[in-house]
Amino acid sequence: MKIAVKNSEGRKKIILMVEKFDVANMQEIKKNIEQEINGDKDDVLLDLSLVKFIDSSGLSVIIALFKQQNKLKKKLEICGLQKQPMELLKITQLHKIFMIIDNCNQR
Amino acid sequence: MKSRLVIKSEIVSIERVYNWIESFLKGEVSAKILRDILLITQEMVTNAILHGNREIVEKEVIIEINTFVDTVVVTVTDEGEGIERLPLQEEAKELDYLAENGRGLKLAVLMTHKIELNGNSIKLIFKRR
Repeated sequence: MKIAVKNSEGRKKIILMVEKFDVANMQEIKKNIEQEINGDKDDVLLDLSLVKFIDSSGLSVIIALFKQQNKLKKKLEICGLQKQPMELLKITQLHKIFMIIDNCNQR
Repeated sequence: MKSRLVIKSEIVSIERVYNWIESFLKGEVSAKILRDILLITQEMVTNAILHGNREIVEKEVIIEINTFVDTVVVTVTDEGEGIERLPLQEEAKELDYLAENGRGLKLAVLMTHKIELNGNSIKLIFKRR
């Protein structure tokens, strides 16, 4: 598993356990996330604290998750963004759409 | 300074390209420029493997880096037929935020100083500062 999950009341925290989230591992991570969510209707906090690099393939997994959560009328929050992932969200304007929070430990 | 790397068309080779660029350019350009070069080169190599060479492992992708006083030039060449044209700046800026694919070339247009298409070869020019 390339993710770790912590469940708390109504919210699932998904921690990506990789430094690079890209075309080389996006299929596996996508599958891991899908298995973990598996029809649950929880808010999701995606913890990217360990991730130093995301490419457009990694980004596409986050977009798919965002759409899925929207469909369920549930939140997707993203925390722990390092420099390159934040730069990528800014250039793609997704920082205006995603809910980004600084602290991964706040409730 | 210049360097050249030839890889087979398999996605596992992506890691090798990343590490090669990082070790070749570390200290040569700022951390921000290095991050941009790593991302855009990876996007172009991914396109070369998946679309240019259609993941036929024996087909090669050649990546060359040349550093000049003001610029870093990265060229990515595959064995495919090439693409018809690059997105225009205006098209690249009109990103479909939530599209799940088709972002790589638009990012390349937005994040390079200059980009040139020559058949199955793409030249990425980055300012060093």
